[in-house]
Amino acid sequence: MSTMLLYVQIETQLIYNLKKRQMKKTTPWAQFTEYIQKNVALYQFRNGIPLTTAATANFTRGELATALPKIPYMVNIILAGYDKGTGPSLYYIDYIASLHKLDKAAFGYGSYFALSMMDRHYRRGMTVEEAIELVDKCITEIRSRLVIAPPNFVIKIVDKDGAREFAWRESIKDAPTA
Amino acid sequence: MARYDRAITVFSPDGHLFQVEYALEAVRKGNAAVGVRGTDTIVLAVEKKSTPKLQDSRSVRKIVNLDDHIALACAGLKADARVLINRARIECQSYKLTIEDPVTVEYITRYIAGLQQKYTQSGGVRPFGLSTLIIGFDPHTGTPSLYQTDPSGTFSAWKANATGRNSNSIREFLEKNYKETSGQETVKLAIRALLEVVESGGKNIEVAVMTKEHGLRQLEEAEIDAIVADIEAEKAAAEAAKKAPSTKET
Repeated sequence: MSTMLLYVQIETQLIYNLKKRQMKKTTPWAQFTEYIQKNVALYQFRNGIPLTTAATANFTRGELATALPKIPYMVNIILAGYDKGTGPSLYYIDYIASLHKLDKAAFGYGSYFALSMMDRHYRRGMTVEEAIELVDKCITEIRSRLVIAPPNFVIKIVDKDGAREFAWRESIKDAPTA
Repeated sequence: MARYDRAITVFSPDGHLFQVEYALEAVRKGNAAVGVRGTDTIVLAVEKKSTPKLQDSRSVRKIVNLDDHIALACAGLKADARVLINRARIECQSYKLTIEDPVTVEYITRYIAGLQQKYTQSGGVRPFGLSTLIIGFDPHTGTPSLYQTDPSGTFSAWKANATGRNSNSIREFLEKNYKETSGQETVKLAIRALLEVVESGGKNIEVAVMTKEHGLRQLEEAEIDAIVADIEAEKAAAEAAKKAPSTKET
């Protein structure tokens, strides 16, 4: 059993590996996810055990929430992680610091197409192959219906063996990556 | 003499900083710690006070990780150590956040020594009663290194060194017996050095081995016991060999 994420990669959006088992997706403020990443690492050194995905999600939300009335971070985040015992989990955190535990998530302009695609085809207990197929369906949908569809997509997988890059779906080979 | 060792660290007329010297005394009373640099491994070994019967001995750790590739052992005041370790760990992550590279051993040593120096020159504070041994592999070149810091804030690099209780006799032993070693030989040399001043047995020793590939690994009590037994067998054999020819002569 493993999770599969869809990330719409538009211009400055980046994907980060967060301490092996967790993965993040951000809008311009890439620094914010790096800051979270370092704090999660620090937690492990201080306490000798790693932060769970749920704890990381709540910590991230807390950081966004405290910054919100001051200088808000303009970031939407999808956080995916795998924990022993709990299994895979997926969290959606938006720039106004709301946190949702979901089975499927997307943001950005393409999300309207991706979400409806996933509403139609997602079911619980999908295999990795089925999940990748669904992701490809979403990418095709975005490419055919979104006027400003980004040229390239990257697919990453998070499971018990960690987070890793699975494949690229490129329409322009050497498009500049942000 | 009077009043030169109160509140802030102030020079005495003959150029001493008494508070720093007292801090050094706290280090001399602290548990012994040994560090040995091998070619592919670096070893830290510290003396462990015997734990009361009901205490969980794993809750007292004297060798800690600062980052994946850096470890620290110290002699002196345990409570001060927690503060220093915490500051160093934050710096490791903070450095990575801004520089995008992990810290070098020299950098984090300089940071810790700098912090210790600050506490000898600011008002209303006392120096850290700590001497630390810092080991690690350079993240760029992969070379192993061993550093030492002390309460005055000086730091130095070593091939092998000791600090804490009876550190002089351990250092003498290391000076006599140091060879370029690797792997298990380095571990043995470190434990042998510590056994100069500590009663033998895994219960009284804490050992951590760092390799480039696997990072820091704390040895289990049974593993240490096995090595100690090995060393003692070697010692006995060497003694017997020494005795044998001499008995022939007489």
